[in-house]
Amino acid sequence: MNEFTSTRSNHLIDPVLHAWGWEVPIYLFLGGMVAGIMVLSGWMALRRQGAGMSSARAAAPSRALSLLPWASPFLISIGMMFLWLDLENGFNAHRFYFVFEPGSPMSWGSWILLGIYPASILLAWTMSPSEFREGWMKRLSFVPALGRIGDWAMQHMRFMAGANIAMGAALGIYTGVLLGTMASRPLWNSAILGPLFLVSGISTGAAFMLLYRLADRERIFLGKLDMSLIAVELLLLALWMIGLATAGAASRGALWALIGGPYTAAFWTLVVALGLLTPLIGEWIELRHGAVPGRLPAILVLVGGLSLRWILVYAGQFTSWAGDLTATLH
Amino acid sequence: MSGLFPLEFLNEEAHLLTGILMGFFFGFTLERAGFGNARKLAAQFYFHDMAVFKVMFTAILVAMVGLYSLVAMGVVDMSRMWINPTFIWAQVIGGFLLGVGFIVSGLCPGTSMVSMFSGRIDGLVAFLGMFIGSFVFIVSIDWFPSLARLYVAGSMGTSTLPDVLGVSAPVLILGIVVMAGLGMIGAEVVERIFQKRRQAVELTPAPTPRARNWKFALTGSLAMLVVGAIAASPAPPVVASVEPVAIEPLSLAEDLIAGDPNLMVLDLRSATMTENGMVPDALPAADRAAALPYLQTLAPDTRVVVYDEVGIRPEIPQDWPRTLRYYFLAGGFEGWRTGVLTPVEPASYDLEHREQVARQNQIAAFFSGAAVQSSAVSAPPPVISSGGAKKKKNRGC
Amino acid sequence: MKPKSYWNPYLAGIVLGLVLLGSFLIAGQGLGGSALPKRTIALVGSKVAPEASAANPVLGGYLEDDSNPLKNWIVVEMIGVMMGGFIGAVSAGRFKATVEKGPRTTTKTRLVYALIGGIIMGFAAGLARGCTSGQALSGGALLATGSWAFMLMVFAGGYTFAYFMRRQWT
Repeated sequence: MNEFTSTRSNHLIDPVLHAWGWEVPIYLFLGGMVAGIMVLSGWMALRRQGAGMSSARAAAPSRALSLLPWASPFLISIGMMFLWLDLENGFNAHRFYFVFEPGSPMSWGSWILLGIYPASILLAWTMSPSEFREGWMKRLSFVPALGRIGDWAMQHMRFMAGANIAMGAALGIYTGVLLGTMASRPLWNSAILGPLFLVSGISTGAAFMLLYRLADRERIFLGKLDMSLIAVELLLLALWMIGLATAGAASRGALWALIGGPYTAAFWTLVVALGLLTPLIGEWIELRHGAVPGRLPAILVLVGGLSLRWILVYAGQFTSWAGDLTATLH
Repeated sequence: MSGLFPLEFLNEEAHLLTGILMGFFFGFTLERAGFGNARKLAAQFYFHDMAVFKVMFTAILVAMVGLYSLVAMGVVDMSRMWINPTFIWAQVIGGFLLGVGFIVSGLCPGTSMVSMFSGRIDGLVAFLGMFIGSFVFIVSIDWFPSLARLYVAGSMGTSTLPDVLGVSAPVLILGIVVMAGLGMIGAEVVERIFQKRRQAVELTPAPTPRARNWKFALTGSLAMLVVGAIAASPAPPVVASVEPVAIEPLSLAEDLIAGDPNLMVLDLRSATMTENGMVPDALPAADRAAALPYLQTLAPDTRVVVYDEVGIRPEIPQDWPRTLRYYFLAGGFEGWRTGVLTPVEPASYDLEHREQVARQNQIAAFFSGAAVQSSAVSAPPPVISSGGAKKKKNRGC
Repeated sequence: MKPKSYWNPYLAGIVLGLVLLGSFLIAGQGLGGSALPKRTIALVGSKVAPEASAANPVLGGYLEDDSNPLKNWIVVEMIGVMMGGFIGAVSAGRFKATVEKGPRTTTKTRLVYALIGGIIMGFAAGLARGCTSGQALSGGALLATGSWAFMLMVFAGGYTFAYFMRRQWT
């Protein structure tokens, strides 16, 4: 059930080296961002519940924060549209749902995507402001089942939050594993890619949330969290590169694409410098002076997250087990 | 290849990565100078705050004096430096328009980025405007042939002020340092006059450090005068071997037909070989020392083409003037014979190819007569005379 | 945090000059500030209308060797400028989402003028093959003839139109 199975990707045999076009990195980016929004909104829902029990009057979330979980189903739909654009036989896509192949990440992915809709929509429902819920309840009153589902979700908020964290994490890891199991591409053939994409995804999710009109304390919380995530992401990137550098000739040849090869400048400039280091240092200085994190670092994180996936997808397809010979010659 | 700088890199990627470092310092300095603030920049044009002039000219002086001193010391190889080519009319009109855009937006392209990344919305808008403006220019150059002509009007290639003004670089640099120093003193005076109606730009250093300004300007100018004087003093001659560049026979033939006055051809072969023919207008130079007095009379940057029988890259003697540019004929006289003197048959029906062949055969016809002629002449033929009679082609690019 | 003062202009000039000198020595070229828009348009153009872009006198030069037109030293340097500007503003406590304008004008007017000025500069930087950074500053230090002509004309243009723009700034 794999869209593309090849262990001999070499332009001498397969003339199409870049089998994956621009749609895939955008899909991976949006998928990671949705994973981040789901994990973060689930976590913030749990925190609020915990705070609600301990203190008499927990601080009410800003309107933007209560509505943000709705972004998940919308963004994942846009992402899936891009994925569908990339599939050669878009009309056969429904076949993914007739089977389940434990060995195929694409099969896993299609089932995770299926679970994301109910989980994220129900959490978004429970977190929405009450007047918003009542308004829609009236409009949708002609389907009584919806009201019952909504009530059920309200009663199981903790479960919904946990489900969102779990589904989000699964989605985030899946976006990395989708590349990681491609044994034909040594650059992607690393177990660290899953956690790396998850952390990067949560970071872009936090950045996406920071673009909206949140309350100051929410901004500071997300900003601090984003800083830690960026630091972890840098660490994972370093581990990933060390892993490739010590793994054998083909992996070293693949890594060459990023440390001397044609994607070097793009990777270090856009991903490391502009997308990770600049927002990290900027947010660190701002928070140290007690300023509220603004939108610009968040935009830079988003640029960096998209660039990471873009460059990894293209650089990964540039490298192959057979291609490392030419790579090491340079 | 003389000079350590500019650095050479293993590959393009390593070179590119240095850009982010230099850009970082550039942006940081611009921000700290206050150039992320459109009001401070615009104040330049109302004489309230001459920071743009002061910063820009101090920077130009430091970089210019530093660079040319290093060139004089033989550390920097200017031939590997990218120097902005001159298209004088495009630059004059473009410069004026850029000045208009500068005062309208209050920012210039580089500072609009700094402004945007300091959070200023006007910087962001100006930066986006630049995309629109660039697009408008790129589209209009296709639509209006007059704009396309203006774009290349007044092309002078890589032209520098010392060439144009006929002054040596150190003298010119000293002149610029003195003028800029006077300009800075003037800027301080102007600022003081306009201080009364000065629209205090947020955070401009308060007037107290004005005394420091004088000291800074004075120390800086003095330091630069000293460095400039060192640069102007005769530097130890840079002893480096000159590597002649290859020139194709056909290209040389075209230049000879065009009658390029700054072209000189030397035949390095012995007299017995030259009897079988020489490149027209070539000077026999089997004895390289004998050619020296002649070479010393040539204007700087004259192209000197040397050739032997088969086109081995020759050693250029150490005492030949370094102001000339040396070439060697690819394939030597053999290459000349087969590449220029021998007519060719077209190998395909491609129109462009056929035109090339036709041109080559014209050249062959032109020179096969001339080659016979010059072999009969034993005395060194005049270098420029015969080519000069031909109609000169305008080869401005 | 109270914003820090700006540097003394002569000190800033010396630092800027050293950065420029470093750029000459390391990269073999000066600094620039207007390649990003042109080269972005070249990249988009090469995908949308490859033939028209290759034939264009401006874009053709960027597309000659079939490589990505954004793979250019000045483009990377401009990304560095953005980072430097951001870190510089944040560390000086000057980062603020606001609009810089004179006391006599409205935000809307200011933004309209910023856009118009940006458009004029984009056009001018295209025509002159560079801007105040690439031509006046870098070319000026290299004593390039056209760059000095450009620099003088920038000041001429600015001072000529300063009168008409006085409501915006003073």
